Amino acid sequence: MTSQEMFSLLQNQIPQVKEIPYPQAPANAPAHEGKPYRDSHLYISCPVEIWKNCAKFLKEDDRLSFDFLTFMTAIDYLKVPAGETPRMDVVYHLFSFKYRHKCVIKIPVVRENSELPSCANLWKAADWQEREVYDMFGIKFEGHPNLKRILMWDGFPGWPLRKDYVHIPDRYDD
Amino acid sequence: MTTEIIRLPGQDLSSEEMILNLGPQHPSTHGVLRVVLRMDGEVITGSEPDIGYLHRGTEKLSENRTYPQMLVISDRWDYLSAMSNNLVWCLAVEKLMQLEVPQRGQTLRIIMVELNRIASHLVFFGTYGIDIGAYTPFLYAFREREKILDLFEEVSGARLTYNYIRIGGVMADLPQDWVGKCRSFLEWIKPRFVEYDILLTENPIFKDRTVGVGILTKEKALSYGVTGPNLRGSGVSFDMRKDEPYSGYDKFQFEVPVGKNGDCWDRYWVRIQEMKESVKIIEQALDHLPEGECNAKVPRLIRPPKGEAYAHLEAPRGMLGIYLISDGTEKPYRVHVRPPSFINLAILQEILVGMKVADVIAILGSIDIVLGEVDR
Amino acid sequence: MILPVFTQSQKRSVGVLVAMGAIGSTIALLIGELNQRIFQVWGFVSEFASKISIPSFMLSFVSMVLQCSVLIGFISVSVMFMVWWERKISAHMQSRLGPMYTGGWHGWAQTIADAIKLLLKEDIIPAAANPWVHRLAPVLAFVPCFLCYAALPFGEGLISADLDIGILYIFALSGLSVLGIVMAGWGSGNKYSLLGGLRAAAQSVSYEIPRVLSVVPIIMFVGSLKLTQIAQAQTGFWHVGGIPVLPRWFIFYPVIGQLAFIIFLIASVAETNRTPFDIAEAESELVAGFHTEYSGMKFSFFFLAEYAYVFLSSGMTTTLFLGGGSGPLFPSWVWFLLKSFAVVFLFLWFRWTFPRLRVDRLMEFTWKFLIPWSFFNILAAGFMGLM
Repeated sequence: MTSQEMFSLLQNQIPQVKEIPYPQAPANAPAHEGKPYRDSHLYISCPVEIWKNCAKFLKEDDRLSFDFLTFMTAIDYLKVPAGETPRMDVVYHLFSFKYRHKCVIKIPVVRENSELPSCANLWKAADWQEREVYDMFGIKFEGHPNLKRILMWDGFPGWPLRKDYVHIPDRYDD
Repeated sequence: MTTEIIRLPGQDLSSEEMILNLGPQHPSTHGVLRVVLRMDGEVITGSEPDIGYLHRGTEKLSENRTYPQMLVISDRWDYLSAMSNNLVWCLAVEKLMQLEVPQRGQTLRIIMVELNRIASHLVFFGTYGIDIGAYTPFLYAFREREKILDLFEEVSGARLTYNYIRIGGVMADLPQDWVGKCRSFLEWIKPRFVEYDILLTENPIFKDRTVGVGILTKEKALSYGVTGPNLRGSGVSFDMRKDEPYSGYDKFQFEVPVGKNGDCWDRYWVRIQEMKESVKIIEQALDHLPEGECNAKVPRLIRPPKGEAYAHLEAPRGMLGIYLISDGTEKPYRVHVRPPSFINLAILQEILVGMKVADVIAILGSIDIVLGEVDR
Repeated sequence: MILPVFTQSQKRSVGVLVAMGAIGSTIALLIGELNQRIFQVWGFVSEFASKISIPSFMLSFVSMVLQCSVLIGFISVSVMFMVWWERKISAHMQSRLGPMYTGGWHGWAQTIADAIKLLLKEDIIPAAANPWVHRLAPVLAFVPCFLCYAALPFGEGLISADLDIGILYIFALSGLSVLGIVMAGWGSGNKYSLLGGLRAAAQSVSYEIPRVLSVVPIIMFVGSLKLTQIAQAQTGFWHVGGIPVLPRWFIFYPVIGQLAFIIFLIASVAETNRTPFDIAEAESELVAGFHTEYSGMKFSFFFLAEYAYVFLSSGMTTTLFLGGGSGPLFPSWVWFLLKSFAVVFLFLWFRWTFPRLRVDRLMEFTWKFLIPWSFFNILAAGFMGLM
């Protein structure tokens, strides 16, 4: 299915999703910056509240059938251009084995105390990757079977991959 | 052999669940990995891998390194197949910069990556033999690997962290008689595969310990995001080199071995066959090595345009991917590594249940993880 | 055809080995039958003792002490040699070199150096262990083996105690070593050592059965349990038209001999806890072995006991199946040693070729495969005896 078909199918079911258009260079950008690049498959922005339904639909619909979660991660946008609020984007990259098509879903959340419904029961691959996002960014996933820190030691203060993370010296520092 | 755990109704015999710690230091955990096993007698009822002992924060480091500097860090994710790590980083950056690598550079990259695949699978073969109790194949595998490392040392100067594949091509063209040495190595290793088949693959004791053990079904594998030889061992034919070819792989003819049952023997067998296929690819590449430039013109200060790119390739352990977000400066804004070993390791929680303690090592070895990639 | 190219040092090593072989053979031929020499020497000693009027019980006591010392000396030297030999053989099978430095020529003094190192180590008894059980376990593992050597015929007449129940005595005492392993496992105070010890005990006890049963056809053919008689029944050749074709060794008996040999060999490998049956002491297995908590001299006792049992099993295989001492030209003790060390080579070869069997498969193998076949063997021997 092409990106257009996928998006129209998804939007019929869940009207709140928005497609993220291919980035254009701003009008007064200097020439040496070049053309912005993004992969050519479908990028969708989905609000937090309807993510659960959206994920379920993406996995279980016959024509979309995204049964493989390639990866999920999060991006911290602390410094944003004027007019926007700082946010964190949680990114899910989905792949369908049946139809061999991909799509990327970005879910903007607030930076403090954000919560997102967990997809660990839909794609088991999300289990550890959500723990990693929690460990590195502090985004909680409700409904996750075992939300503990995975890479850092239990009780580590702070969320390392945030842009405003400052390392607090602990007993492992010399 | 799985055992069903049947809870008898009525009076429950309270038997304590024993907790066994397969500690971070153990001859068979292939690195610093801790697995906490809950056992009921000899049968395992639950397992919890505890990782993070080798976490070096490379994703955070990347935000303060230029794109060429990240190549050095990328070597150290899956240190047994550093060429693949370099290549995936270069693919991601070249996608962002919309750069085209000349034919010679692409073919050289393929040769190095496939040689590295053989080296990495040889380590798997040797260490898996030790896990099962056969001490000798390890030394044969490392003898072969020494020859590959000698080839790599001539071409890049290093034996483990090569930093050879650079953005826009490779570090330098091949030295003078490297092609001849590579060909003689390939001639030397082909009869060795026959030896390995006799020594381990068809050995009844080895088969007894690995056939039917640790079965990973297709559905579970897809749900857990497993890729690489683990997925192919379960019967799904998915290889990035064939399905989404990169760096000129579509010009080469090779087969993708697919297992039948998804047990440890199938995963082992897929890797042995992959080594043979890699030999074929390298031979074809050496035969059709194009002349010309091997590097594209790359500016001195690499500043990709704004945007994001996801590049992936078939590393020896699975689908290694880089999700790269650039904000127009010379340092990346966000780098996320999609590590195959990390995602493959998650299945350990499920396939160990119902197995006996003696099978844990066999199953853990067959997933073939490298802790550098699990923890990054 | 590619001719092999030999290096200087390889040619030198071969030269040294050939020279050693030549000198050894001449010495062996000069000594001749060892028991006759011993009787000659002992004759002089007893004459001298009666001259200076030493009572005869004193003399027999001295004889006993001498025999024990010779046996212990032989065991120690042969174990040291076997450890060095194993390291060399495993190294050459793995395309590396093995010990090369200690002592000069191919590291022949390596085991001596290792033994001294182990002697100098601290003797640790874990706090949770029972100290007396912990101390006694290695003794109980080694002493039965030494007792068994007394009944092993090292050649014609070279046997310390020529018992009428020779085989039965040896099998009974080999079984005692299981006790040492269980004591080691329990006395370490560590639940994983206990599990390892119990597993090893289960394995040893199970594999004793096919080991004993496989020897029954041999006993049926000879009609006696005396080891010297079994060895003597294998002297001579089978002749075809006047030409000696095969020696009368039990291994060459049709089907029964080969089957008995194979079952006895496999069961002996399992009894001595060698790969492929070495789950009890394997490093890469999950549950620690029974000798984890042992260090220093006590650990070396277990080590010594294992290799001594290996030689004992090889010696028994030689006596029961390979003619134990019979052979042309050289005296019988030379043949016995040659054949025993050939079987020891088999033991070493198995260790570095095969992977390990899993515990339950190991037990299945003996109960469902080896024991039924050894019963079949006894039946076949009975039929053959009828004919």
